[in-house]
Amino acid sequence: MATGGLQRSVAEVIRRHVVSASSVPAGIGTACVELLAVDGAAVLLMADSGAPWQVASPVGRLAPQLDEAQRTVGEGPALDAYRSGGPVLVSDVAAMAGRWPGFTSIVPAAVQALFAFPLQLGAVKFGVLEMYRCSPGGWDGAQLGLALQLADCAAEALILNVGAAPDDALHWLERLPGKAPEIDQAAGMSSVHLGVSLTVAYARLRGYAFGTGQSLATVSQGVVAGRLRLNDDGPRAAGQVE
Amino acid sequence: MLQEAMAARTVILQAEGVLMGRYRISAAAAHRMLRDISRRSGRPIRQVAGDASKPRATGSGLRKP
Repeated sequence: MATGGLQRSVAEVIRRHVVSASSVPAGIGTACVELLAVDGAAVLLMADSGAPWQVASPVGRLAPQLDEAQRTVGEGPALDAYRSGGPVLVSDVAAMAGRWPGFTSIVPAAVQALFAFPLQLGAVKFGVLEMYRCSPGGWDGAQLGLALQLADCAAEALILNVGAAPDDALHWLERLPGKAPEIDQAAGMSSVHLGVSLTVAYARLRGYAFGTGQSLATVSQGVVAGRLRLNDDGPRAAGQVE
Repeated sequence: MLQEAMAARTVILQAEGVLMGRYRISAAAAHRMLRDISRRSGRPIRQVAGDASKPRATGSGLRKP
């Protein structure tokens, strides 16, 4: 059967690129590029906590910027795929300003088509597999089928390789390339500085990042390094004379 | 497990940030503080971190080092 052969080839390509636990996200991204002729792909690890997600080892020149844009504005195809539990397929990013006004205003213009698939095993959702292409256009049924199989294989590879014990998984997360620990730390710090909840602190960091044309990660790094402090009367550079 | 670990990691990093803001200490010092309290009290670091993030965590055993 053709489908069986396709399934085997997806699994085979993933096995070839995933050589160790820490290479799972990058290996999946590379498999997407190889099998679907996209320009980049990334595994986004998400939880229901409302905290911005971790981007694990993005593949492709624009993937970090693409993911950072969505993380900064808190909207976009990846978040919609996670929330809805179904694929989000965008054949022309420029035409989506009505659905994602913030995201489309800061996403790199070269990113023209986007495809996002929830990563889940049974009822447990833990992230999104996202791919982008630098030319507009959708997929045919065969390509979509391939992408869905890739997302399934990706979810399985992550669960199998990360380790069964909670401490193993935590250790794996901490060693993952592409992590941005400063975002959660900056939220904690800003919640103290502003006397607000963590949820509000994330919103304030996002608002400041978007308003100043910076990424959430850059702003967070500034807060953690003590260069920037959000205050009730608006942000100011640390050490600025009052 | 991945889901649990992600939640734990977020809570731990948030708590580090809270301690950094409260006591003006580095991320490494904040992490040491959480780890020491976890060891001394025999409670998982995730639980200690969750307490530290609560507003005015009095009685959590978290004091300036």
